[in-house]
Amino acid sequence: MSRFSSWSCVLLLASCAGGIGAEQDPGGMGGTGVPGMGGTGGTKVMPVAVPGRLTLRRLNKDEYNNTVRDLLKTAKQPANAFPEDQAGDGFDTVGEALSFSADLVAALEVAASDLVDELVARPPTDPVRMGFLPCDAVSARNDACARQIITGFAQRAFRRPVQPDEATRLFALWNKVAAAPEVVTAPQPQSFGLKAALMGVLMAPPFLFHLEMDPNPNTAALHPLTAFEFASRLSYFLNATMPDPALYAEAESGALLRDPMVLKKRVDALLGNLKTLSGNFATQWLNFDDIDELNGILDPRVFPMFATAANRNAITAGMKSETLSFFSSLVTEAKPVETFLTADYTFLNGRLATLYGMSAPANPNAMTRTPTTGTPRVGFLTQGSFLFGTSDPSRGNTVRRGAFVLSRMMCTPPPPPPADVPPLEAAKVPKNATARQRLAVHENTAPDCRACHLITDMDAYGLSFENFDGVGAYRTMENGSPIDTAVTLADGKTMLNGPRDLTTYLAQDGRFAPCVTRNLLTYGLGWKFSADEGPAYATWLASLARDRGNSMRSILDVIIESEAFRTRRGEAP
Amino acid sequence: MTFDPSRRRFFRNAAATISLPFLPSLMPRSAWAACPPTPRRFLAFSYGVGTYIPDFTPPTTGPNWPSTMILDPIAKSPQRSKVLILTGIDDRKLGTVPSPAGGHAHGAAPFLTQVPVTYAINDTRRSSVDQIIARSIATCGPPVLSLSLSVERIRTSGSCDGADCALSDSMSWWQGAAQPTYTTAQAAWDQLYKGFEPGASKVDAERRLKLRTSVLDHVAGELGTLKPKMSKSDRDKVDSALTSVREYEQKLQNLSKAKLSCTIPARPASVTDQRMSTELMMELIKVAFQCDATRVMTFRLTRTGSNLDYRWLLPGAQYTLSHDVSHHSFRARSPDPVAAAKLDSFKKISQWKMSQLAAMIGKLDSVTDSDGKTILDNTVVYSSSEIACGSRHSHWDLPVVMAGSLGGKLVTGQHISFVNPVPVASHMDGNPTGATRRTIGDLFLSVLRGFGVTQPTFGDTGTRPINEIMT
Repeated sequence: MSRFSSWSCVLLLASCAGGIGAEQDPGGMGGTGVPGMGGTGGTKVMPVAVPGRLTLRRLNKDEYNNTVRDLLKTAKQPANAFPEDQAGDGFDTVGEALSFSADLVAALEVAASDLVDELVARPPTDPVRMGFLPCDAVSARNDACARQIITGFAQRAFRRPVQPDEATRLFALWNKVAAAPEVVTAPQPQSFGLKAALMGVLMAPPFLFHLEMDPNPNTAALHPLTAFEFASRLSYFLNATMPDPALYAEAESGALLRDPMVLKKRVDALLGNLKTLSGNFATQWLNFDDIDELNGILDPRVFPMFATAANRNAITAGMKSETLSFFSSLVTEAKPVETFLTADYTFLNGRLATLYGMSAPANPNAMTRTPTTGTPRVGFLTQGSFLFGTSDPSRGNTVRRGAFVLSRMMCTPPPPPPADVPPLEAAKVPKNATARQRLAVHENTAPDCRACHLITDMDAYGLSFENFDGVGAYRTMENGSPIDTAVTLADGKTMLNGPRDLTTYLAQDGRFAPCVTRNLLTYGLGWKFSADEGPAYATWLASLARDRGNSMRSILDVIIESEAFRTRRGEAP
Repeated sequence: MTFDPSRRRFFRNAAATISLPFLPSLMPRSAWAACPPTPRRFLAFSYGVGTYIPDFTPPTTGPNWPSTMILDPIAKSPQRSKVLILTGIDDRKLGTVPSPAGGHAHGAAPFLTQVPVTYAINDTRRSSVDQIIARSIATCGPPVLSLSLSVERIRTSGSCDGADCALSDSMSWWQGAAQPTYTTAQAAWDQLYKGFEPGASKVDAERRLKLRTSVLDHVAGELGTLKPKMSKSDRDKVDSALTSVREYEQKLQNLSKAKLSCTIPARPASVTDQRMSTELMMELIKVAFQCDATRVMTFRLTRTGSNLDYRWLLPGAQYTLSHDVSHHSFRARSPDPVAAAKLDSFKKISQWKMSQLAAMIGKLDSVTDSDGKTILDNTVVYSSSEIACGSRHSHWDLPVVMAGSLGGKLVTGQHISFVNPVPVASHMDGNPTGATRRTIGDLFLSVLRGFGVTQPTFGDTGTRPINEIMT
């Protein structure tokens, strides 16, 4: 074995051990700090100052589409034609990662132009048009009307009142265009001015960015957000769109920041629509991208049920829908957050029921809440989106399942596999061996790599799901041999057998709720955690949520009430 | 012709009257070359999961380098004399830094930037060689600064080999901003040609151009107003947006002046099949250079860590997944049928990749340029992978193949090794040392010199150009 290899495995060993300890140890959390906020009885103090700072981020594609939908009541989805967004720490809301490019500017310009054209082409009695164009500044120059249009449109688009100098510059843009030599000869030169000003709004920084200003940009002291900035954070966090008029009004009146009951009722209202929180947050947290990746390369010889694209797409769409309905039910219902792992129900349509070997719901086309008591299925980790999404094209991937549990459920990812991993099926493997037998041979072939596989319990977690094949169907035999899911964890004591044991264990392990909190903070704030003390902060917020019912909703509430969510800071130059 | 009725169609008609504000350069003007009379072009040709070095690297150097199994499609091609094979060149300083990321991400992030994966994703030092070249010739006429294509889809969430996915899947970067990658030939065509549709009357076109340049100026002004009120990180983001606005203005200006030296090709069909998409994209690259629609392109034949299924290439083979077979393992030295079967598949897939490179080079050599030479002669193609040895994730002896002399600026028709004897052994034999070894950064410095760009260093590895490859 080469020098490099030994060195890398030593490193892996160290990071395997360190990763877990760091997450589990709540010991460093004493000390003094800023008092906790919101409904905690004041008994807890913040263990660490709000770490890190948020880098300016632009609207991502979903946010852009949703924002123009709500601003202009348009059915267009202009951002579908934008270049792909970039993710940071796995989420497309992180400012550091979201890039600008000339191509994006080009696409934004086309979008702005199309949207303004659509607005002015609405009939005169159309309420959207009447709302934004309440007077006639087009058939003849009418400065008062032009200013009124600019201020009204920009205030709504900017999610905050318009600064006088901003309005002045937009008004100047209008007049510059309307008076340009090329334009004055047109039948309605003012219409060009109007279009320029409205496009100017739709391409302005306060529209395109989540713009939060630091009064002292060169100091790192925390300062509270304005009510409008807070309202925007809240709205984009829960609904991935701009504040609705009711939320905006509560920001304007100050009630949103002042009155906890107003905030609570507003959060209730925003959570009435869980489509974006599940569709944007859960899909990224749970790596739905991997489902699409695998969908294209699945081996139809092994999984004939997936042989046609139509079947593949329908089944995988059902898997996603199952998990998103399940996630939403946990936000809505006041169950402990660990129910995500241990629930005795799921959502099925006819196709999924067939795949799972369960009886189909009365309406096979609708996702129907179905109990799983008495079946091998329990919680998210026996749903197709996980079992399928982690697979290889021709079979389930035991190690990757374990790695997914570690990284996405526990936030303690194993290090990446070292180079030169020997093939799983070495010559010693008996023909038709089970995955467990192959894995055992692999570990014996490469004892230096046992470290991460065993210390992190990665293999044990993965082996717990061996009763499910690569597409999530239940099985008791693999290659003619009975499947054995009994495992002993690295502590040498804990013995588990199958998903029910494992998920019960994971639910008590203490890593899950902080991990959900951490992912929600990254998604909701665009907070790139890797370089700071974010994980400890997330653990602390999760402990606050535990005292308030420990539900998904209580985690959301604690995040929204947290200092991290209500403040920001500049940075020392 | 039926075309998308884009508003952009008026550019050409309005050519005579366009006057855009002077655009400040994005690099020190002194570092730039004057525009060459014949276009100079750059193409990066990348593929995932490395290769099998013992059957890739020719065992001897010089113009008569012997063919190897994997390089055979290149060795046998009519363009052999226009190809340069380089051995003993690495980015291991960046590839072996301890970090949570794996070997593929470690090689992919610096692939064209030589900026390691461990730097912040938005670190403004993260600029790729193609983007530097593109900006050095931004005022030379090509309407589209640069274009990046990938046959495989781009991952936009989750983690890619332990790092943010853009670091793995985006090849082109400018000052910490990932540049867009287009994953269909149709989308790439739209970027290249949509602006060239004749349509609206001249007077209408002038009016609308006035409107949009005024709006863009306004947006640039608003961004400029924000900057002094922001902290460093936010200012960098605003700067990136401002740069993008200016570059788009530059594109409008170039579009207004540009004359395509070709008939606009038909918009490609919509395909999802890997091989058909590959063929369409390689044809699109050739025609884009031929038309002088752009001079800088990057192309991912297969993605970083690609695990595509090559069942179609390997009939009857048990192991056909690209990444899976790349881990054929040198460690299983005893006769191991599984390792041997995987290695066999990997070598065939690696050879297929070189056949595609040979086809790309052949396409570029099939078209006559404005000076009577071929497009290839006035181009430099750079081809490599994020790692050298698939099984080992090594970051030395990268499989560098170059083609085209960039109008006589670069050496071709050779195999040059910076290590004597040529390192053809398996990469399990350790991480070699040697003062004569060169870095990818040094190579990029040489390429930049060929474009007249004389920056002193490149990324974290380039300190001196490689004289042996410069004429």
